[in-house]
Amino acid sequence: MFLEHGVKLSVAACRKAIDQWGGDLSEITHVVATTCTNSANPGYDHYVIKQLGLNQSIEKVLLHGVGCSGGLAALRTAANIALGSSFRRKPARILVLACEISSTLVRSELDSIHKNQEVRIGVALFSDCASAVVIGNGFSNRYDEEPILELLDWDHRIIQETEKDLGFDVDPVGKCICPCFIIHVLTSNKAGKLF
Amino acid sequence: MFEDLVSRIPELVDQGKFKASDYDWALHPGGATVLSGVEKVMHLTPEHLRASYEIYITHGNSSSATIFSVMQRLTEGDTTDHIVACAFGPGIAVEMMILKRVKARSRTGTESPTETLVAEDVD
Repeated sequence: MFLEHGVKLSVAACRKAIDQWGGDLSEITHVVATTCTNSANPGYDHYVIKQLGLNQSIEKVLLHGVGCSGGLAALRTAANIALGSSFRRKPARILVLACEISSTLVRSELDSIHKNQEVRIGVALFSDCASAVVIGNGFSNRYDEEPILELLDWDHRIIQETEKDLGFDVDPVGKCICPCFIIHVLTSNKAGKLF
Repeated sequence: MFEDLVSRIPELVDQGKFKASDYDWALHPGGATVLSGVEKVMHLTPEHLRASYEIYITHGNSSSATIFSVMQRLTEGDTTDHIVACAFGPGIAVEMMILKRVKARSRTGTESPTETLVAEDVD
């Protein structure tokens, strides 16, 4: 289901991002993608690259295990690649892609309702979406690019001893999510350390 | 985390923008309680988080893909010159970024930003 609908949605998002950026496919230097609703090998990014008509040997990275923070994690990874390219005095135009087909969770949710008469939060909370952006460094032969945002700096932190508070694991009928406890973390003294 | 990030960006230190409420926020809408929880902890108003609330109400939480929808919604209208993007993930991991609006009139044409971002998304 993901490889059918997710890839299609991703290709549409990427085309829109590339149109808005105004550059040519051949100028894309890297692809950084993320998803937590699919675990295909090769990853879904491979199929998106193929359908977009990008060079299939383009340097790419697919993030795993980062869940909802994957969008910014992908952007952070791309920014670091862009800086690496700057150091090598090379242009970088990186296609960053996030795609989630949360509808694949329905099996696990229905199973929970059927077996335990329990309606969990996942089925009510999550929706399907693909988003893409192009991020670049200062090296370019063109002068007609019009950036919307400039990324100044970033940070990544782990709140200690909270592994069980926000999770997303595969169960025999699909995936099960337990995001409820993040609320307690946000309102507890652990949040002070966070911000 | 927020304070550390701001304190190492020279232009924000120069402008004295040390408070969370000096910025519009693109916060990952993990859920209604996550939005109101962060709002309270960071002393923000719903206005600072308007794009996050709107995307949450109209599109729900699309996990990793949602933050770009929020960023796009925010940049469609008037915002503060600098924006904080923030998302939570398993770990619990927190990702935070400071972005700057690039306005056409402020561009000289002689310098390129070191890193630029063109945002777009499909719902």
